[in-house]
Amino acid sequence: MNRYGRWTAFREAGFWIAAIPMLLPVYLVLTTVLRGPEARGESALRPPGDPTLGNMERAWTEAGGGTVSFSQALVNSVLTTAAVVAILVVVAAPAGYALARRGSKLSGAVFGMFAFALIMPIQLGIIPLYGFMVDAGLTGTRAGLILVYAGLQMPLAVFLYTGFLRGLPTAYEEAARVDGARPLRVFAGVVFPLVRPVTGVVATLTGLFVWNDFFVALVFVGDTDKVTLPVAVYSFVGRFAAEWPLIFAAALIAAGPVVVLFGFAQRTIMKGFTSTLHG
Amino acid sequence: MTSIGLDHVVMRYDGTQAAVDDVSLEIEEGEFFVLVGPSGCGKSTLLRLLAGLERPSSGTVRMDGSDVTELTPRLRDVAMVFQNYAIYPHMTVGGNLGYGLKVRGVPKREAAARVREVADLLGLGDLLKRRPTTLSGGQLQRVAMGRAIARRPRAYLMDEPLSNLDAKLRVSMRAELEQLHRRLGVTTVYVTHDQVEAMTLGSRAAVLRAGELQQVAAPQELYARPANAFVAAFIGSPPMNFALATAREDGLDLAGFDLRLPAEHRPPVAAGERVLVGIRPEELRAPQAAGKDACALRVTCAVRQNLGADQLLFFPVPQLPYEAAVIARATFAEDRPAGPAVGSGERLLCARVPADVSVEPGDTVDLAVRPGALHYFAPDGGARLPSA
Ligand SMILES: Nc1ncnc2c1ncn2[C@@H]1O[C@H](COP(=O)(O)OP(=O)(O)OP(=O)(O)O)[C@@H](O)[C@H]1O
Ligand SMILES: [Mg+2]
Repeated sequence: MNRYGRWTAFREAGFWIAAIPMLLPVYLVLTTVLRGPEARGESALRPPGDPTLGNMERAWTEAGGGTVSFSQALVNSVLTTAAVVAILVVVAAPAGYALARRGSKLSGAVFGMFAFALIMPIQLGIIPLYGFMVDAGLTGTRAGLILVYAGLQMPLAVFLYTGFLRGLPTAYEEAARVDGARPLRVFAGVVFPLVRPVTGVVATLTGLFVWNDFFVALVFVGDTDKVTLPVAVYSFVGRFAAEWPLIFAAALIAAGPVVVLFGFAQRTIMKGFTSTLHG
Repeated sequence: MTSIGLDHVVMRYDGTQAAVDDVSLEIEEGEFFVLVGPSGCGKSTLLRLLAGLERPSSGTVRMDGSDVTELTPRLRDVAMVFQNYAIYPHMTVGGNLGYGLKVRGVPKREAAARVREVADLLGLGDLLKRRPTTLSGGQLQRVAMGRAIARRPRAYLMDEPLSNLDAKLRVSMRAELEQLHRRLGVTTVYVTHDQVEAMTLGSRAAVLRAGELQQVAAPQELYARPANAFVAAFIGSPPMNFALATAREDGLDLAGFDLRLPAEHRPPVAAGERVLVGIRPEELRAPQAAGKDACALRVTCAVRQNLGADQLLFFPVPQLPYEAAVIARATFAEDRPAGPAVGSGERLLCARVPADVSVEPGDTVDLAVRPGALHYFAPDGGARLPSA
C-alpha cells in the first residue's frame, strides 16, 4: 500500500514546490546570519563560504539600542508567556466548564460576550485601556503586561474550552459524582484531564501570540527592562540601521525556543487541533 | 444492605411531559429489582433520581427509611453502571476500579488490595495496567461492573449494562450477574428494555410506560397475571395475541371462533358486550397437548417460522379496522417496537407449537386453547378483567 510509487513522488515534488515561498526566506535569513563581515558584499542567495556564528554571539551579548540585553529580553519573554498561558488555562478551563454545563440565560449571555470580544480588534480599546493601566500604576510592570495579555486572550481560551466541553458527554462527570467526588475533584480529576487537547491548543495559540507580539509589549512596557523579544529585536533596527545580519540573528534566537518546543510537542499539538476542531 | 423507597416521585425535565409520573415503589434489602419498559419510558431517569444525579420535581426518595431526596450522590453512597459504561478514558483499568476508593479517602494500601480482589473476581487481573481504549466491549463492561463493586456501596444501580454486548455474551454475563448478586447480596436496581432480562433476572420487576408504573410483581406473576393489556403485550416473546371478542351466554365469539367456556372462565361482562381477549402463543397448542376441556380452533397457516425446538405458526383471523384501532390503543402499540402486524381486514395471530408438528404454509391446522389460558382486558384502557 505504502510503496513509494510514481504518484507519491509526484505528490512529494508538489509539496516541495509549494513549500518554496516558505523556505526561501528562512534560507535567506540563515545565509545572512552565517556570513562573516568579510563576505558582506556577496549575493544573499549564495551559501556562505566560511560559515560563522559571530553574528549570533554579538546579537546575544549586545544590548542593542534598547534598555536591556538580549538575553534579559529572552528571560522576560519566557516569564511573560508562561505566566499568561498558566493564567489562561487556570481561569478559562473552569470558566468554560461552567458555561458549558449551565443552561441558564446568564451563562448564554456571558458566552455571547466572550464570542463578541473574540472578534473585536485590540487596537479599538487600547487607548482607554492604557489610561486605565496608568491610573492603576501597572504600566511598565511585568504584572501589568501579563494582565493585559491574559485579558486579550481570555475570550479565545474560554471560547475554545466551552465549545469542546459542550460536546463532551456528561457521563464521565456523573460517574465521578456517583463514585463520590466533590465538584472540585470532579473538575480536577476528570474534566480537566479530558480537555487536555484544548489545553494544548490554548497554550499553543495564546503562547505564540504573546511570544510574537510587538504592539502590546511596546505600548505597555516599551523602554523598560521588562521588554520582550520582539521589542528587543526592534531595538537593533534603530542602532544598526544596516546590520541585517544582527537583526536576523536576533530573530533566529527569538524563534529558537518555539521551534524546539514545537518539535517536541508536535504530535500532541496537532492532535489537539484536530480534535478541538471536530469537537 | 439497604432498602429503597420512592413516594409519589414526579420528574419533569423542562415543564413538559413528565418523564417519571407519580411513581411509588418499595425495594427491599438485598433485592434484585428490575425496571423494565420500552425506550423512553423513563427508566434511566428513575435510576438517576435514585443515584441523586437528578432532583425530583416532587416526591421523596428514601434509603433505609430516611429521606435522601436532597442528598448529593456522594452522600447517598450508591454505585452506578452507566448504559455506555463511562469508563474514564484517561485512567488505566486499575485507576478506574480504584477511583471511587481514592476520592472517598480509603487508604492506598487497602484500596490496592480491594482493586486486586475485584479484578480477580471479574477476571480483569491481567488488564489493570491497560488503557480503556484498548479493551473490548465485554472487558469494558466488566470494568464498569468492577468499578461499582470495588466501592462496596449501599446499592448498585445498573442502566442496561448488557445492551452493548452480543447475544451470546449477554446470556453468560446475565448468569454471572446473578451469581455475583447472590454472593454479594447488595440491593440492586437493574434497568432494561429487554423483557427477557426482566423475566430471567431479578426477584421482582416493575413495568413502566410513559413514566407511569404499570405493575410491580415477580416475573412469573407479570407473565401469568398481567395487570393490563400493555404489560401483557410487553412481557413474553413472541408477544401475546389479542382479539376483540363478543361475550355470549356460554362463552365467547372470538374472531369467528365459537369458544364454549366453563362458568369460571367466562369473561366478566354481560352477554353481547365486547371484551379484549389475550392468548399467549404458547397456549395455542396441538389439541392432544391442550387437555380435554380445551376449545378447538381450526386455522389456516399463513407463515411458519422455525425456532429449532419450536416453531411459530402465524394464521390470519378477520378483523375490522376499528377493532385494530381499539387493540392498538388498549395495548399502547405505538409505545412498543414491532407490535403484531396489522393487515387489511385481517390480523395475524401466532401459535407456538413443537417443531415436530409438520405444517406447511397453506395447510389447515387444528389448535386448541385451555379456557384458563384466556386473559380478559377492558377494551377501553386495557385493564385486566378477572374471569367471572
Ligand atoms: N436531560 C433531559 N432533558 C429533557 N428531557 C429528557 C432528558 N433526559 C431524558 N429526557 C426525556 O425523558 C423521557 C425518559 O427518558 P429516559 O432516558 O429516562 O428513558 P429510558 O427509559 O431510559 O429510555 P432508553 O431505554 O431509550 O434508555 C424521554 O422522553 C426523554 O426524551
Ligand atoms: Mg435509558
